[in-house]
Amino acid sequence: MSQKTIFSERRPEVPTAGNRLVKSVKKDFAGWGFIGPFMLIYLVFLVWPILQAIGLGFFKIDLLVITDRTFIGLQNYFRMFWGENMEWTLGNMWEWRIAGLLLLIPVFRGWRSKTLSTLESVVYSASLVVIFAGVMGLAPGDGGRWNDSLFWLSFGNTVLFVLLSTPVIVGVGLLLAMALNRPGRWTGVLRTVFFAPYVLSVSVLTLIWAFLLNPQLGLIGTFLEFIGLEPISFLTSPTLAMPAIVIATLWWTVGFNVVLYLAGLQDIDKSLYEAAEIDGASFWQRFRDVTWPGLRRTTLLVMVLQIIASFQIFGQVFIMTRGGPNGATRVSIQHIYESAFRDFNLGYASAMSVFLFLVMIVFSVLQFRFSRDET
Amino acid sequence: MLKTKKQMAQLLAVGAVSALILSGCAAAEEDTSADSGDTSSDSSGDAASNEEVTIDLARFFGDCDDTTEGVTDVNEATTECEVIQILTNAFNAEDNGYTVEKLGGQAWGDYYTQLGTTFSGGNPPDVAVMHQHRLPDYVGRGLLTPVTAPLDAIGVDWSDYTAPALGAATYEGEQYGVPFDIHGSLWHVNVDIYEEAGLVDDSGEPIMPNSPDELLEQCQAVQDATGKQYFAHDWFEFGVGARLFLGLVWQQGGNITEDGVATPDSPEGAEALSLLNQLATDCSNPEQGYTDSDASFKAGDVAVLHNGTWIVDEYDRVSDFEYRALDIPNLYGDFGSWGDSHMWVMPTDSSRSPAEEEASLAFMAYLYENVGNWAIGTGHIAPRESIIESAEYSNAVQRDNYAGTAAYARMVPAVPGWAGAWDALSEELNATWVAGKDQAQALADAESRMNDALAD
Repeated sequence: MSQKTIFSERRPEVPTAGNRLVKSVKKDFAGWGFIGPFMLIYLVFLVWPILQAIGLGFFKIDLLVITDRTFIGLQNYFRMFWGENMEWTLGNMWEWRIAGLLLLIPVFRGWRSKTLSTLESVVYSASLVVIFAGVMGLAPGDGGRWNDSLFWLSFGNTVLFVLLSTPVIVGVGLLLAMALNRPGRWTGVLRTVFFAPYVLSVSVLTLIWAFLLNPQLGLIGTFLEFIGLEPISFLTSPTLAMPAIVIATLWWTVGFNVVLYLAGLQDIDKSLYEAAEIDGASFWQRFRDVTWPGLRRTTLLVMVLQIIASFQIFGQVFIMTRGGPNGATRVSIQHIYESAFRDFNLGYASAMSVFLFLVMIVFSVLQFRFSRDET
Repeated sequence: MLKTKKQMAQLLAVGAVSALILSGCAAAEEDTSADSGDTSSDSSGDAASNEEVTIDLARFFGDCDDTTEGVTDVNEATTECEVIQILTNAFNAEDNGYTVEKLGGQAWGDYYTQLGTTFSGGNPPDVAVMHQHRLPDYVGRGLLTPVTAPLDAIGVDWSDYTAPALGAATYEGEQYGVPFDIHGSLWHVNVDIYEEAGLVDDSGEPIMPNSPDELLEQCQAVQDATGKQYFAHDWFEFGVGARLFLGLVWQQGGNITEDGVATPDSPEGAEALSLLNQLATDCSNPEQGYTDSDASFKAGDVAVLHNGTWIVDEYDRVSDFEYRALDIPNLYGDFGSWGDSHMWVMPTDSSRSPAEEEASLAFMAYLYENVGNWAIGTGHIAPRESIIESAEYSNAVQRDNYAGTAAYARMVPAVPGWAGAWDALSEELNATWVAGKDQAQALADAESRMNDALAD
């Protein structure tokens, strides 16, 4: 990394003498000059609000009268995570819990191959067991209910969206990038075509897709009718609404991943392909042994960015389905938004944001940790 | 790393520009406060007559600057947006020393979000539009200024208001808003289809059903005779189903809240929900949202569309079939249909100068005077007796046909937290016809979710 060469190599010299310091600042001036404006905006508009949100999560605070705040400790979190007549049962959400516990396998493998230290392995294993075998067995028993069932409904839908959208948007991004990674007049045009939707605002995207998906007026419904099928009302179907949102999101954002993957593909040494070809490697072998390993860093970046972006799903859903039908597409940010701006409950909304933030951090850190050690 | 002084200078320039951008907001804010300070001191001095006092208006109803720029004749308006924008233009064109500036970017969906943030940002608008059901959220927090006395002093005759309208703007005995309309649900009828199905009386007017059975018989008759869809409305987008549900509960003598507690899970609620589901399955298409139902009615494919008062003039103008706007049929004995009210309020703002307050009140009084133009230009029900009785109003298209709604439409409950409660009700009801959720379960869930929202 270029920053590394600018900063870390010179750092040790700094404390030795005053004139050295001045020299160093002068030398690093360009570096600071470049990142300074960004850091300033980053600190003021990102880090500071995050810290504020963490603080607000401990208060009851009204959006309309923000000066009026009462410290309530962990009550917001209690409301999120607890309910009446809570009981622990073995069978609660067992599919998800077993799936979660299967993550012990890569941890074990990581430990065996010494890519994870013993301490790390123990921490990961213990966390997995506590969360999936323990905590997730809790649910309201007979006659009980969650303090805020919508919180769990929307979080579940958000996780579902992340699980559905991430592989699709990353995978299609990779396929398109590979298809477009060649010289030619048309590939340039096609690159632009695939990237173009990314610049649209969410309201335009939803306008286009709500229209396309409309069973009576839309293109897809008309096409289905043309080939003799019944038009499908995607957005009012509890099973099809979320996949429809995933497809709209794919169309909207895949261009960004394509650009990243194109850059990654162009970084792969051409001689590796030549060597593979001389050795008679098939397309699949070239992909498996040259392209995929060569894209490891890009894939890590794309995956992390995609997971973070997917967790933040909101606009498409809010405009296209408003969380319906029957809550099937209600997502976390919608719940946070409604709590803050419709119900004026800024403290509770902040607490939920903090939870979502932590979940995203955990996913990102794990992604980094496991991908780094893959080789 | 810097090779030349030029590079250094460029870098400094970049830094300086960023700093300027970042401090821009603060500087602008200071300027504004300085200006308003000047205005207030000027207003008592000689310069006041030359200074144009500018006030901020926050409203929904959409943006229509393209079609209304420079227009001051309200008769040219064809939509809600055009009426209010032309009225604003006309007020600004008057030589009164006041200018009203509309705050930008306030679409329907996020109006209240943006309004809320203007309060938390400490810079609320001078005049804002508000539904009556939102009033308690704001008045209860002391965010709106009472306007009974000041508007009384400049010619607003409160006694001319109809009881429901006045009640809508009243909170604990004080007026907090100037009611602009009553709006409600109507039965928009395609008379041609009714005639084809033999559902018209001797004078050719559509016969309205008087019971749930008659409603379903009409549905059958229309489908048998014409093969067309009997009923349409927005089944899942904007809570239109909940509006009809509310009307049907009221018609049975039930209610949706009692002493601030939500009670949708009642025998009346169960009956209303069951009828709505029958309509959805047997007589309608629950996959239709607002746009689809509107489009199929306009295309002449539907006998009855349940939609609001705001669209009467448009349907009257664009329909190429015989069109009637009628009251919601009385199916259970008591007349009842959903209603709400748009009103103009003055948010409390300690930084507002006396001159600005005067301008805001003058604009509100002006809107009061133009209640008739709003009602006649849109289809909304006028909230003032003198206007309802005027020849001009009753001569306006269709108005006689839904006079019952004007007289009897009931307002949704005005209790704090109603917006969230209403969304919860609407989502649960929608789930029954869109996703097949069990009706009893939906009502039980609606009740608990609504009460969570009201207790919040």
